[in-house]
Amino acid sequence: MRLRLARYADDAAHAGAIFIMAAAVVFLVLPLLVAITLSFDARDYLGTFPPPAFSTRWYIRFFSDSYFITGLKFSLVLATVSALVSAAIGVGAAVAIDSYTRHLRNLLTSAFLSPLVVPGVVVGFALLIFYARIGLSDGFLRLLGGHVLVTFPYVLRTTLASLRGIPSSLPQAALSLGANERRAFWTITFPLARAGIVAGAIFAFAFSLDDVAMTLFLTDPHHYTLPVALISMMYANFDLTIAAVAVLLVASTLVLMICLDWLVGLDRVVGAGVYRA
Amino acid sequence: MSDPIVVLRNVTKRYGRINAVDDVSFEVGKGETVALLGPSGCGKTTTLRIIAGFVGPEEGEVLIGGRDMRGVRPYERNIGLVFQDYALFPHMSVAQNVAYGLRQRRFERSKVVQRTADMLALVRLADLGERRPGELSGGQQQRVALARALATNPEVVLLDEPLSALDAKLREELRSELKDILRAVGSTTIFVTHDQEEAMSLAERIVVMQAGAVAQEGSPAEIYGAPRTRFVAEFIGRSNWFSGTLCPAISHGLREFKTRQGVALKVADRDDRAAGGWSLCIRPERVFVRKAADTAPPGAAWDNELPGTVTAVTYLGSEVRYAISLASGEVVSAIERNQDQPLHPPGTPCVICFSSRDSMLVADAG
Repeated sequence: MRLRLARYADDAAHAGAIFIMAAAVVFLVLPLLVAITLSFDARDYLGTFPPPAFSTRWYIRFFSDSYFITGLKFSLVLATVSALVSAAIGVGAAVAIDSYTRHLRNLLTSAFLSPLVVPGVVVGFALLIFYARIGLSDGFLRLLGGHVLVTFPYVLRTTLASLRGIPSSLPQAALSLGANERRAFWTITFPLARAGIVAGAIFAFAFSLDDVAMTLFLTDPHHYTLPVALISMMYANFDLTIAAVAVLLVASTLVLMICLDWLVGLDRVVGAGVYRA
Repeated sequence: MSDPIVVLRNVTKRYGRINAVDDVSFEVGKGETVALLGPSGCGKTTTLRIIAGFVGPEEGEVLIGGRDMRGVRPYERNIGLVFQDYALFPHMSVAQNVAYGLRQRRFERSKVVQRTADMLALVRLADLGERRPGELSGGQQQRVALARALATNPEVVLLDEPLSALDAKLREELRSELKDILRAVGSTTIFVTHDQEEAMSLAERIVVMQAGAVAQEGSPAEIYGAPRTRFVAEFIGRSNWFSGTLCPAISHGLREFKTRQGVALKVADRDDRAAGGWSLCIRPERVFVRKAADTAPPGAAWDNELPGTVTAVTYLGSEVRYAISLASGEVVSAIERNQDQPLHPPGTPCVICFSSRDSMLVADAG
């Protein structure tokens, strides 16, 4: 009898877990579905859900608005350059940190990852004051500095995870076979850590594309990203173009994630190591 | 040794206050195979890494091919190194792994291809050149690592626990193969192992290490037959021990050894040894067990006889092991080759016999 009760309790707990998971999925996906539906709304105004008729007018509106397109182009350029610069800095820092003793390594890793836990508003404000002090006025460089600051920790983290997975005997074997340190790095360490580096760079790209809080502080009338353009438009006149852009952004992120999965396997990126033997 | 390839002189490496390698000196001649043998943490691997150039010693000098290695980086030395985990490059094919050293040392392109093929043939992996290391068995990986290390024709080949990652059966198989390959190439070899059997079967000379220092150096027969310390005797093979004192000589070449329990034993006296402070060591396979009722077999020079009782018998097929509790209190083990002789069951009153010539005197620690 007691045994059977225990089994009922187990089954109930299992069912509960499934319910919570299902609720979470609904909570995550439902707003997305609403946004997708609304982006095809044919009405002029924000009406009741569901819309009575569908059209692609908001998409056409987006692509024909030079304000948005300028923002989009700038966003893409900024994200690409940020990802590349972050990759270079992140890999360099990761390689250096990896060679230190455990204590120093943990300390430096925490220090370098700190931009991730500082709110974007704080980073943006701090940078604004810092740039004013050093007299940096170039709009692109101001934004690039901010974006690299918050995106390079992603590359650092994924690269460190990759490096950690490479046995130290591999580069040492290369050295014993006559390769100098630089050649050992480029022929052994780098190819084996490449998956992690690329994963970090893609994260950096996605984060740069998405950031608003910090970017708002550093933007100027000639240098603005797509999210900033969307927000200023929202203040001016709210329409469903924002839903269309949201759908486009979700779609492109999805493409990036598929690329990432195909390239290295998403579970490896999110999990501990990306080294494969 | 007319032509030493590797010379270590008073090499010391400290980690904090601990001497990981403590005043180690030895030489390795051309074409010779030397084993660094010892328990884990004895400094043997650090010694190997010092020779490879990954670790710089605080004191002493390392010479390879007569050249002082101070400040010479690993890639500036001409060494071949086989790692314990083989360290095969997972993103390269087997052939690319073997060719790596040749490429780095800027061999001609045609020479690289030729030499790679030769090396793969040498380790009997000619057909598997296009495979990735991950697709090979442990034994095959080990052979690839060996081929890669030998490809550039290094002055000395260093092997770190070459067979420890393999299971027991494969290990024995690969041991003889490794020996054949090393002999075929004629390479000068230093390898690190904690397995005395591996050291004895592969090496011409063994350097036994303990707590960073060289405990004894010599041929396998010297190390086994005349261990200088109790550590060496116990690390290499099984042994029975009697502690006691050495008494003045009985006759020419023969001395009396009085155990703490007061039993007098005869020992061969090779050198002029001081009285006191010695232990007597006898290998179990040199101990013969006979029933107390039987008389001693003729011919054998068993001049030590001690009464006791068989307490355990272990039948192992090729040999039989006995544990015998002596009347004086010690427990002695004996190993006999199985030749279908009748076994002595536990409880049998017996006499153990051994020769004074097989009794080894080992200085007590100090």
